[in-house]
Amino acid sequence: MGADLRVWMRMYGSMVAASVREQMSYRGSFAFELLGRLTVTGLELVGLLFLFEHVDAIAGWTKWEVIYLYGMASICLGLGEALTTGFDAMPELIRSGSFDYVLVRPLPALLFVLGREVKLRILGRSLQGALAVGLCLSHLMLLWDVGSVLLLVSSVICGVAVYAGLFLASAAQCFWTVESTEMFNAFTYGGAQMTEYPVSLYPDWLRSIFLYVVPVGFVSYVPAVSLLGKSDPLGLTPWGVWVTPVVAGAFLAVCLFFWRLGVRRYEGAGG
Amino acid sequence: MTEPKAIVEVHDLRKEFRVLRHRTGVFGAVRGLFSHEGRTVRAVDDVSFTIESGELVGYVGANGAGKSTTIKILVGILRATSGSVRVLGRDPHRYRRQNALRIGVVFGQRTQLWWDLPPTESFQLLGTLYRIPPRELETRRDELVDRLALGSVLDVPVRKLSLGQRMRCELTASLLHSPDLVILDEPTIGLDVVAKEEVRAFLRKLHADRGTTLILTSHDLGDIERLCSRVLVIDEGRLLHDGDVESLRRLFGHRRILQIDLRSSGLRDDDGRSSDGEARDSLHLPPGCEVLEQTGPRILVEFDPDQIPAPELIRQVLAQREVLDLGLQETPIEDVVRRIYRGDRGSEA
Repeated sequence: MGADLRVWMRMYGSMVAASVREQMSYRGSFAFELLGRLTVTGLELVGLLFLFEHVDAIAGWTKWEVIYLYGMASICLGLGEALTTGFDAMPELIRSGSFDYVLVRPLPALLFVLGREVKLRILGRSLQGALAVGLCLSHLMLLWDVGSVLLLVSSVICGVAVYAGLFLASAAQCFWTVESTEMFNAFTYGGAQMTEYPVSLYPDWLRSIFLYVVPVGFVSYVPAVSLLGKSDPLGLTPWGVWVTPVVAGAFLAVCLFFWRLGVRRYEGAGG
Repeated sequence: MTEPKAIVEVHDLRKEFRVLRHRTGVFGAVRGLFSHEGRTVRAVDDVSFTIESGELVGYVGANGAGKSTTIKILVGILRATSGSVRVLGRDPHRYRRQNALRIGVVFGQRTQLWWDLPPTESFQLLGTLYRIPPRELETRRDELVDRLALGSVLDVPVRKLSLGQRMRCELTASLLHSPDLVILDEPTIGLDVVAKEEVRAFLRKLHADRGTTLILTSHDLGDIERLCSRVLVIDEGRLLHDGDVESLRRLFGHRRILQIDLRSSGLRDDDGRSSDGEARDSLHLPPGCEVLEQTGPRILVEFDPDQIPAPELIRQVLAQREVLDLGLQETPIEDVVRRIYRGDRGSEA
C-alpha cells in the first residue's frame, strides 16, 4: 500500500509537472493572467481598506485583524482551487464517456483527474492573500514562537483541505447530474467571502452552517482567534484549536466518500 | 511468473442495470440520489468464452447488444452482476490498476488525449504515467508514429485533428506501454473507407509482428472479415455465435443487398393500384431473395449471391420494372444478427 502510494504520487507529480511546463511555455500570457487575478482580488482588499475609513472595528476586530482573516481566506481558497482545477473537466468527462479512460489508468481516478491540470494562475488569489497576511502580521507585531508558526501553517493546511473538499464534492456531484450545480459555489466563493469577517458577526443559523456543516468558518475563525489573541464570544477556543485539524480532516473524508460513491455509481451504471 | 495461456476467461457472465426514471431540474437530481425506482435491464446474459494468447477476436453485435458492456467488464470499469471473469489471470475489477499496466484500450467514440495539447504531449504524459523509461518510450513512439504515418500531426493540438488522424493518435496512445492485451471498442466508427483500411492494416501488422492478443468490437462486418480469425456475435446480451469467420458465413451465407429505385411513373397495374406504392406485390423475385424494406419508390432486396448472382437478379428486375438507379450494399450486422437469431429459433422449434 505504501509502495503504491509512492508510485501514485510520483505519477501524479509528473503529470502536474507537465501541466506546469505547458503553462510556462506561454510565459507572457501566464504572467499577465496572474497579474490580472492579483488585481481583481486586490480590489476586494482596497474595498476593505476603505470600509475601515468609516469604522474602527467590526465585531471587535480591528482593520489589520480583519485583513488577516481576509488574507487567509484568499490563500486557502486560491490553493484549494488551483489544486482542483482538474475537476473543471468532469462534466465533459462524464458527458462524453471519456471518464472510462480515467478508470483504465494505473493510478486512482481522483489523482488522474487532478493531475490532468493544475492552473497556476489561480494562485494569483493566494499570492495576494499572502501579501495581505504578511502586511497585517508586520503591523500587528505579534510575538512569534514555534507554536504560532505551527498554528499559521496548520491553519492554511486545514483551510485548503476544506475548500479542496468542497470542490471535490462539487465534482463528485457530476456523477449524478453531469453538470455541477451552483450549489457548491455558495460554499466555496461564498464561504470565502463570509470568512473575511469574524463569524461572530453573523446570525446564529448562518454561523452554524459555516462552523459545523461546511466548516470554512471553523477552520478560519478558531485559529485566528487564538493567533491574534482575540476574545471569543462563541467559546470555541482554546479547545477548538486542537480540534481544527480533526474538523478539516473529517470534512475532507466525507467529501472523499461522496466521490467514492460517485465512482461506484459510474462503475455500476451502463452506457 | 508462469503466464496462463488463457488471456481472458469468462463464465456465465451477467450484467444487470437499474434504469432509473429520468428526472429533470435540481430537485429531480437531488431526489434521484435517493430514489431507487426503475426497472432492471439485462445487458449481458450468461455469456461464456475463453480467449487464448495471440488470438484476434471480433466481438460483433448491433448497437446496444451488450458489446461495450462486456468490454467495460473486461477492463474492470464495470462490476459483473454474476458469473466469473478473469483477465490476465486476475479479477479485472479488483485488480483494475494492476491490469491497466498490461492492457491497452481504445474507446472509439471517446478521447484519451489532452484536447488542447498536441498528441506528442499526451504521449509524453502517458509515458510518465506508465513508467516507461524515456528511451524506450521514444523508440516505441517513433515506431508507432512511423507505422501510422502521424509525423505531420504530432505538433497540432488534438482538437484540430480529423477523426481519422485522431483515431490513429488514440491507437498510438494505447499501445505506448506495449500491452499484452489490446481491447478496441469500435476503433473504426465514423471513419471513411481509407481511414478504416489504414487502421485495419495497422492492426493486422501489430498482430502479425508482435503476436499481441486483440479483441475488437465493431458493428462493421468489414472489420471482422478483414481482420479477425474468430468472431463472437452477441445480441440482446446473449452470445449467438462463437467460431471462425468462415463458419459464420457458411451458416448464414454471405448475403448482400440490392437497392432498387423505381421510376415513380404513376403507371397503374392490372388491379388499378399505384405501381410505386405496391411494387413489392407485383415485383417477382427469384428464390434466395427477400424484400427488406420499401419506402416510396425505393426497395431494398436482400439476396444470397450463391443462389442468385447479382447480375442475374438485376437482369430480372430490369425486365419487370423501369428502374432509375441500382446500388449494391454489404449486409449490415443487424441483419446478420437477425438471421442468426431466426435460425436459432428455427432449430429450437
